[in-house]
Amino acid sequence: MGKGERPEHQAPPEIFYSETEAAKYTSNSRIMQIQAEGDLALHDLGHGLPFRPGTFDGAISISAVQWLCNADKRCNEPRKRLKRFFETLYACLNRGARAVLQVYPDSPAQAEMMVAAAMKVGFSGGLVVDYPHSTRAKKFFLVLMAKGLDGQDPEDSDEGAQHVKVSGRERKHAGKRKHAGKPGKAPTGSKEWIVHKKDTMRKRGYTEIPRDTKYTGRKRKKTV
Amino acid sequence: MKLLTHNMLACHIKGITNNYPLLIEATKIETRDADFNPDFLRHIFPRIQWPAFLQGAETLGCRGSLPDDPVPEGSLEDETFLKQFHHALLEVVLEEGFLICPETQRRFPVCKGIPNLLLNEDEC
Repeated sequence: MGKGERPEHQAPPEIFYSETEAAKYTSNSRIMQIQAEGDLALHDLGHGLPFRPGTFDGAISISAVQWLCNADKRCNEPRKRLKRFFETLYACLNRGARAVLQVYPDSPAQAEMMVAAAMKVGFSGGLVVDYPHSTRAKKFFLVLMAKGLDGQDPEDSDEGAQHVKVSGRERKHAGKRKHAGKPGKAPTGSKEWIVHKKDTMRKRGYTEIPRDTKYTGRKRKKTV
Repeated sequence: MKLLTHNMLACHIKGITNNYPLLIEATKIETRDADFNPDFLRHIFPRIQWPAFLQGAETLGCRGSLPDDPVPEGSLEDETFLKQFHHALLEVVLEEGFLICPETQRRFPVCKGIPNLLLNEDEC
């Protein structure tokens, strides 16, 4: 899927996940292999979860919550739907339970909106970004904890709670990394690097290369 | 839909208070074998709302001799009880019918074992 082809921007989920699209999931051998057994229900996350309070010790969601940020109908208001979803999720979790929601926010503002909606109803936790430097492998996880009865976060959650966390995990198969940190080379963008580039260009016969001065590679002063 | 799932479901229409348990109206019930796992049953037992479970089991005709008030220490070691509990909880499936909200009488259809819990815009 290329840029600008996010499914949420194409059609509402009930239309986008047509029979052909759904077949991609049901006929995929890996999905068939890892699929857990259980019951299904047809439901809209934005209507709130239909479970009695304190039922679950954990919840996971994959690529679903970003759909709530879209207003497919005039009556749909993303903030309201997010709030309803998170408040009912909070209610049906046991105190001390966790929820991990993998999402595809389409902008930092959208990620912020989801985190804010979750914090507002009482969750602690934040956004974890896996493979932050990769475009394709980058994944966003909303990691949420329902606080205990005493208002305390469960276990180790004091570090990083309420913050947007970026995990430093690197891609396992990073393959060729461009130029980064090659020994004996000036870092890209530095003065030495610019002077070296200009020198190379002169040697190649280009004539209109500006001369090297004390201003070379200097940042411009900010004008107010 | 199994009674295990039914036991967790509550009506999510906004603003109502008496939303549990959903009443069942069954038109088609099926039985499917499931692996008998006593440890799972002992673990899930404290999480089951027993009166709601009995009510569901009666509607689906699989209550058998399940007691009104099982004693956790005794019943959970009793093989006969566990077998019956297992059968009603996991093997009897509501295929076609309705789930009905106890407060508003709103009817949610169950089709091919999948309840349709979508709400109208004025309900959420």
